[in-house]
Amino acid sequence: MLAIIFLVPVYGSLVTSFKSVEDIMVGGFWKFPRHFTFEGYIEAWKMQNLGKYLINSIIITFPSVVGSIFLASLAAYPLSRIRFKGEKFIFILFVAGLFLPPQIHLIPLFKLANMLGIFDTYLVLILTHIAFGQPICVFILRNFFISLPHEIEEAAKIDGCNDFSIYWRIILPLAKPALAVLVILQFTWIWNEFLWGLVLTQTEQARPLTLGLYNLQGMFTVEWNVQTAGANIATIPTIIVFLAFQRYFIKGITLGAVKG
Amino acid sequence: MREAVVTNTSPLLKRRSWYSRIGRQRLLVPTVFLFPSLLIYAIFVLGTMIYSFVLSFTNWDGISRTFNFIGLVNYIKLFNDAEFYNALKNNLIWVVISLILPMFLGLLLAVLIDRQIRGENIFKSIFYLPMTISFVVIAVIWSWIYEPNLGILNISLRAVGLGFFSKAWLASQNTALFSIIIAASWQLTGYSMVLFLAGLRNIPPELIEAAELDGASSWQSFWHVIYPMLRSVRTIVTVTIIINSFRVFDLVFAMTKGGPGTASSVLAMFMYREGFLKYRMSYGSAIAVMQFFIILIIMIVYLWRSMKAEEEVY
Repeated sequence: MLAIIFLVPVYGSLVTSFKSVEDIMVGGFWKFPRHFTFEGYIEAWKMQNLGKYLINSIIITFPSVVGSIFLASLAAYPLSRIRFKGEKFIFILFVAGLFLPPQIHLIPLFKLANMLGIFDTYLVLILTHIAFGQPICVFILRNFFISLPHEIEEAAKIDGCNDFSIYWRIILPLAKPALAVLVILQFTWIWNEFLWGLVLTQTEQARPLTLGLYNLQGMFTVEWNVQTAGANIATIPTIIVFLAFQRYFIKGITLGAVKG
Repeated sequence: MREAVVTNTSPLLKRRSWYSRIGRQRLLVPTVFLFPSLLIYAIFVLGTMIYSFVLSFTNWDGISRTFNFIGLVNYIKLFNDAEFYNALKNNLIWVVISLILPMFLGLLLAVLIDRQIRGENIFKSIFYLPMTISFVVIAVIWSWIYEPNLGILNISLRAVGLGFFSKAWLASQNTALFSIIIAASWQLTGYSMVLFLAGLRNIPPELIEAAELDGASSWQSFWHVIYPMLRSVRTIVTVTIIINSFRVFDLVFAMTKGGPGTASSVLAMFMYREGFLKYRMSYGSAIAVMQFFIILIIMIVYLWRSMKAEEEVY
């Protein structure tokens, strides 16, 4: 029963996206479309260039996901496998990042982007996503690495492996479950991100899909079929990823509980 | 060849070579590995944060090349700004409702799903689905639900004869904020459910069986056995909800922009408006710094209290 109530919004958005505007005016919210039409999708995709925003989102998301996890895994290696002075301090420094409100970075970030001449580019969003992905990725990976037995690398050292090959050839392959969890989480968060895109980009050139949808919402106040069609386009990739990797997803949320 | 080396090495020798190698490169290796991550983190996350503190003491407008330090002027202005208190009040309302609605619903759902074996994964997916959706999408979907003439909420109200209740939910002073919080709760419920479910699964079943053997009703065993065992999960959910409630921006921005007037404004919205729409960047920084400290203080108080409570239990 609760599940049905929970799905009403999703149902509404799906049904509406296949209606024509007249159909919405007459038929109301509940009813199935009298005849299915892709009007909304065509309008959103073609006229409003949602396709371009989709490409932007893809170009931004993939390097951000890979980059943030790769850099964090490098950092997590010494934090979990090597004893050195300042280890705790650096780890806490990373974890503290989980609690910061994004607004505290907003204005300087905007200034920094302008200073570096990368305002309104893919690059600024990718770098920002990588940087802000560090806390959660370092946190989860460090905790995973630390649970691996120490004998592994003792043996590897005898074999003459240096630290990088231990990290690359032994630790990383063993950490696949944790890496998978992070890929899913980071993908969803970065794909859905809105605020950095709003402040650090300005034009269609680099703006992600969430911003494209926001523009759509501003321009089509009555055409709910276009709006919901756009919303569905923006959601499809994350839904697919969610359904395919659900297990990892839920595990990830439990692991990285503090980040919302 | 390699294997031969390993088998010829005595355990003692193994240990020594391990430690001596570590000793030799004590700081070199960690530095190399940490450098790229720390560098980008230090610039984009820590650096920008510190710079916000600096800017909050200046009169920078966001466009000029230079600015002057003006001491506490921004903060004095902030403490006399009614909009600040209004936004803060709305954030607090957000915290309270989010601590009641999604937390209660999430716990309820987790308990129900925990009992029911069949179709568990389907239910989990359904309630979890909203978590994977972007705030902007949620804004579109819920704006459609709240739509005055054709939205499902008003249609349903009219259908059951409560038509006089129907209104322009997002455009009305009294309901705008609450309407947004409900949309946010729709998303958060799945989150708290997942965490509570994980917590429930961590409780040893013997404990509950023992309580039932002692003749406890299911309500009693929930209240006296299960609920206390969920303490750490409750702390995590509470902390997350509080932090998120003070961070909220996307949903408000995409649904009402803080309107009508400032009825649904929150600190993040207020900050964005001052900084980026009115070009008062330094004032915006001061707001962000206040937001930072408010979260910090609440977190410290809360964690300190829950730690004390934990001590009392043991």
